[in-house]
Amino acid sequence: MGSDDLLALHGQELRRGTVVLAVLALLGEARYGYALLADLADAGVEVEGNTLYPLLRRLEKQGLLASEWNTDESRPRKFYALTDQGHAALGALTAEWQTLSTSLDRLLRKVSP
Amino acid sequence: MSTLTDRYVHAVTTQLPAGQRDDIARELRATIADAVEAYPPEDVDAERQALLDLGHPTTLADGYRGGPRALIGPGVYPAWAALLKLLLAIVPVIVGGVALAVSATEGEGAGEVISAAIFAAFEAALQVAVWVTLAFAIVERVGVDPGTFAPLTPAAQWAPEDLPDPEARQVGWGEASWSVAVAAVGIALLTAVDYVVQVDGRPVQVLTDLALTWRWVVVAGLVLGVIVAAHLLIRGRWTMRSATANLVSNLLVGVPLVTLLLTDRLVTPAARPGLLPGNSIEWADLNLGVAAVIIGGILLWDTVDAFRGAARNRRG
Repeated sequence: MGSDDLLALHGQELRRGTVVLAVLALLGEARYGYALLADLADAGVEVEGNTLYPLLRRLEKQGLLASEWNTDESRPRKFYALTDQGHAALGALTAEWQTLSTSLDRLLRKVSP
Repeated sequence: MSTLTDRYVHAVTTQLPAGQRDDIARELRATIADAVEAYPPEDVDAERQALLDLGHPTTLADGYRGGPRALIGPGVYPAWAALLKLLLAIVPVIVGGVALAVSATEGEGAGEVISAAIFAAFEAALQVAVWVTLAFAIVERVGVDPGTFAPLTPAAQWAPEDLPDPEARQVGWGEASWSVAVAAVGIALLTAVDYVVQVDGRPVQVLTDLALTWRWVVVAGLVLGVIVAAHLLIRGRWTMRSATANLVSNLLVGVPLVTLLLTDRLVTPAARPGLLPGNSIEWADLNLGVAAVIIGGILLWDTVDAFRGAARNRRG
């Protein structure tokens, strides 16, 4: 495995855990799959469709999201939004992210020349 | 003609459980349509590109399912592969040899004898592959946590000294492999060989009708025995469940065999002269009662040994 591939792999690992937090953060208001993908991309969060769409169903199964088919427009779309449990998870994960981010910032500042 | 989207959605959903298919298909179609719309209207290649962006259908289906599917998972794969290699080296040779000997007594031509042996060996190899794979597939689903070779159930309260001692494997690889090999040879002999010999140029049935019927009970017992042995290979220790399954297996094998021996209904009277070469031994001289007691004794010892092992583990 080349060093570029290795770097890509580690970068992917690093981003993987943050996708759930980003998804929960954006789903405070209901969104459908493709719109969420576009909003995540606009926000600078790189995620593939084949990761995001199954993730939405998994989070729904875990009770963090609820979904509803919206048939008002010409194309029926499945909208996802946070449940109460999802709101609680968002709060907890946000706190965890902030702690982690602060710790790592401090650590990296200390060791970088 | 189906559109590219039709093909893609079909390729994904056929890999999913029936209950989820319709909803995922509906959502996927909407998502693909949204993605196509995001391309400039003059782009004729938009649908194709949108599907390529979504990635291979199997990758997406794996995502929905939560991981790739496997009959033999990585946790039990090494044991499955090792056992299969061992058995494929032993069992077809033995069964082929027996078939060779049996068809040689029928006084057939060399070509027929050899082709009968090769066919029996090939059939034995197939049987081995099927039963071993089936046994491991069952163990994979009911007996072992996925991804762990010697499963430890995570618990909040635990101490390092409670972890099993790797030296304390009750059943070694060799022992468990041998019991599978013996069972596999038994299954192959009972299912692949037709028990007919030539006596004075006439075909004679060797096993009685009763024995031919009851052999399926014995085969069922041996198959259960292979499953128990596969479980043992993986865990290395007896549990109450596997010891109980071992008891049932031994009953299925032992009861028909011992009953047939004690009542002398295993071999048809017509075939008896053909089985004993020369005139030195008469059928009546064979002590079937002793054979029955020895077989019963071995199975009883095996059953008790398994339960003692399980009881030790429970205390340990």
